[in-house]
Amino acid sequence: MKTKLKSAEDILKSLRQHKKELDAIITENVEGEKKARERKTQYGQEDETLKDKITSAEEKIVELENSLKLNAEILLTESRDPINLGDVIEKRLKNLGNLMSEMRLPRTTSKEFFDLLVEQAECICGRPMNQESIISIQEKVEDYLTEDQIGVINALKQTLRSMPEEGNSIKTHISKAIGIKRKLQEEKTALDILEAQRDEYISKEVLEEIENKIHDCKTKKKDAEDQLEILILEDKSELKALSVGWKDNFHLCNLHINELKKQLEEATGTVIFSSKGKEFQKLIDEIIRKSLNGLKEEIKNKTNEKIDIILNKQNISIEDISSSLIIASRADVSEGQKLSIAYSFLSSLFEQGYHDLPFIVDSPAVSIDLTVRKEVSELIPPLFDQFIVFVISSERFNFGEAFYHRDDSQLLTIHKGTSYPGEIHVNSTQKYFDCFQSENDNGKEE
Amino acid sequence: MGFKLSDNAQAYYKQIKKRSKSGNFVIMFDFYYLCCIMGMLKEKLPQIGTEQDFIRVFPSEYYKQRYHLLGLLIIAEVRRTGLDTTNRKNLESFMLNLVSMDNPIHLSDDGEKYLNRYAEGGYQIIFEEIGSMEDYTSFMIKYQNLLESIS
Repeated sequence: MKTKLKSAEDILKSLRQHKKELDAIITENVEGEKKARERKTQYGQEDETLKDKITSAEEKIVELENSLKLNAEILLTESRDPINLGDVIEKRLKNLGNLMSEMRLPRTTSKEFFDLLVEQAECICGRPMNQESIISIQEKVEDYLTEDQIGVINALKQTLRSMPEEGNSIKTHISKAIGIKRKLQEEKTALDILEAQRDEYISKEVLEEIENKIHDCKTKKKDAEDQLEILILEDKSELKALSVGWKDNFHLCNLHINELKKQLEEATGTVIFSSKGKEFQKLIDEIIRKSLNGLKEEIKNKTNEKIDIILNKQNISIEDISSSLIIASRADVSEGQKLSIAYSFLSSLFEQGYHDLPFIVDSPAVSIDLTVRKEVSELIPPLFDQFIVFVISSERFNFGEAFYHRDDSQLLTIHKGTSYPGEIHVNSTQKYFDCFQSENDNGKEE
Repeated sequence: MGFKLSDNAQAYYKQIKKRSKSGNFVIMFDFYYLCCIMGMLKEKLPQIGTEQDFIRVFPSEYYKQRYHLLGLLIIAEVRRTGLDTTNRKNLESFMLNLVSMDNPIHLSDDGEKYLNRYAEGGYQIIFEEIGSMEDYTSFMIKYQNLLESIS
């Protein structure tokens, strides 16, 4: 994109340079032609009659050209009225006017008039307005109603009616123009003859040289002017009609450069925006990483504090938290220890949450040894506000028993009945809880 | 919508405007109007593209002639469609279809569209019959001759 822009700007510079060159060529050749003509007029100065005739012819030509221009101005003004353009137009417009009159177009009366008319005692013609007349008027009123556009048609009709009998035909001015052009041509021919007579005073070789010089200057000047015209042209329709490209024209070149600049800005803007986006993404990722690490560290420390208490300084701790808890420097950790670590971790984790949810565990003490069970059973309640645990009979000893005498705990024995399908029995006594044994109890929850 | 001239027609006008030494058009509407007249008299109605309008109202120089143009438009359309002019209602309805009070030109969308198409038709005739011109007076002489050939 930058390369294209630079290339276009270089082309614009070259166009400017080209314009300077063309201006110089035109100036040079205008001067050259003038000097060649002056050189020519130096000859035959001694023939006064010839000189006067040439001057007179030149003056007549100027006068005729002015006359032609004046006639053209009048021609333009008169031709703006279509009636002046020719009989056929005048005839057709008059015919249209007559047709509209014949057909009584347009309808000219408004509904209001008829509404008022039928309320009067008499019609406008003087006759009494009886019921029969009223009905007749109301039935025929549609034939006479106007629409808004009728106003335009009405104005058209008025215009056609007021057309003059005869227009100021432009034929006169056309004929005059033809006459002037003819005279002009005659005078130019006469001047050519006089100049040819003057040229006889000049030697053939010199004359030829001067004529060639004049012709050469005129041609070069015309070529340069044509190129310059293309270069500076701004009119859209002419540029299109002449199939001019942006490399040959200032206006189009500037438009092209502006378009490239706009595209570059958009592209640059996009690149900058995109890189800013990436930087921002990096920052966000860094924030997430550091936040997560911070949270992990905090939870790890809290968990390790709890582990220390539960496992009574058995030198077990969490080293890291990733997709699992990484225990530091221990090759072998028992199931009980693992469970203790898990509870400690979970309680530390839930402390960070916004919602207070009950902690529900299914068979928490199955794999914990008896000593540890007791400690876990004592430690768990303060860890959670609400702790719901499902136990099997084997877990009552040293785990379930710890909750028997707590004021904040409830023991529920829930088992199925036998009277009908779906029957459930719920008992909330400690005695029942302590004695209950399911028929299928072999370590599975019912 | 307003008055439209094709790019080619505008280029034709501008060539005369630039090079004529014997008098000249003053405004583009001068040429547009001559194209319209020629197109309507010869009933040439080509399709046109989506050029932008070069002016949306009648120039002051042509304000008095606006109804003449409307009249010629109606005549051209009546002739082109072969409308039965003895039927009053049909004729009135036909005329009303071409006019409107909703804009300063007083032409309906159809009216404007047909006028612009006749202008293009007129330009095409001018280009074919008169050819490329660089002088206003010479152009008008040939234009007048062309008009006189229409009955």
